[in-house]
Amino acid sequence: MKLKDEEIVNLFSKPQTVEKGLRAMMDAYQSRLYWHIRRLIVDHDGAQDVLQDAFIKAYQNIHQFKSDSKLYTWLYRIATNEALQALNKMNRMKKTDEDAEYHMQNLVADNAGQDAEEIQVFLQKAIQTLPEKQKLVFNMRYYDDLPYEEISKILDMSVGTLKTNYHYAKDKVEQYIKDNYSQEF
Amino acid sequence: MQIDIEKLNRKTPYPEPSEDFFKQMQANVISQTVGQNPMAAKEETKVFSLDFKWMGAAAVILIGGITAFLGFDNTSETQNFASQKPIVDSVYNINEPALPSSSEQLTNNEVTEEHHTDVVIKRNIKNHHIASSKANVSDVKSFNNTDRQVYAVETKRKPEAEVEKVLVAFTPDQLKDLDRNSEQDVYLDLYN
Repeated sequence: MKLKDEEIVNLFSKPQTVEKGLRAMMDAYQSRLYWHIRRLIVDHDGAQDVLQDAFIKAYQNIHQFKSDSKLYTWLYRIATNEALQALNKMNRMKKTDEDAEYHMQNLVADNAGQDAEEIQVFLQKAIQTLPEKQKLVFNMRYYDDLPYEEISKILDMSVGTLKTNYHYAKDKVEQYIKDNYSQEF
Repeated sequence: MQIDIEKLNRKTPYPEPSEDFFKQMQANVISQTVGQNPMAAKEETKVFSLDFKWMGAAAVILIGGITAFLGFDNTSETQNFASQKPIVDSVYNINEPALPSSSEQLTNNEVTEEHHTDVVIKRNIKNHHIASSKANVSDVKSFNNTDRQVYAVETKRKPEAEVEKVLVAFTPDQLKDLDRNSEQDVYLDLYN
């Protein structure tokens, strides 16, 4: 039985039900958060580490969660921060002078499944060319289908700015696919 | 070629994680949170933050104490140095040959003279008895050079009359005893 956000948060208030609450929270949002992180980090192992860290952070700071916002919005915010931190760390630790964008595109190609559609791979490569904010907005809007109001709460950006960012991101992605996909085929 | 991404299937090209993946992930999270009793850890953290306050206060007091102590130490050091100075001076006085005052010198000379007198008297007595026992040759041999010199000097200083006075002071029994002792010395010398 799937618990509501309020019920999950209430489970954290009693020591006896803390573990139950944590498990319920993970059951409810682990898949959505995993794919959100995976699209940013690309690498599966990296995504796993970030997801774990995100849930641990959520558990440690559950007392700071305000009931006026949705739990998944709060969790998305934590997961996004963790993912961005991990990406920055990866870029700092990268020994070669290889361009970060080029590196991420190669990572997409390496991690793509054998049965993946080429256009999907190109779409992911195109997303890796976007600036950080546009990448986040595009992923949340395009893949997670989050409303602008929720994305606004997660990223602390106005709805207007988000719409503009999404518009620019979509144009860039389409242009990238148009330029590169046509060269391949 | 026209591309409209809105019409594409919104799938990611990455393969789905295995079935065990989320189970494993949950187990990891539980072991790092509830498994370690983080509620207690949180309380410890609070206590730790309080400790930092106390540690800060203690550090300030410690620094003040050390500063005060060092200040005291400097003063005491100066005092010690000041109090040591006369001691050092006296040491120098000890090392340096002290020039005795005239009265001290006189007293010392008198004492030395008295001492010499005693020695001379005793040796004269001894010498006298040695001579009287006709064993003076072996006794003279036993004198070393220093004794001879002292003896020569002392004999010059002391007149023979004083020796006679001392000899008069002895009773006949005492003289016999001295004589006996001198003979014993001779006897012992024979076996040397």
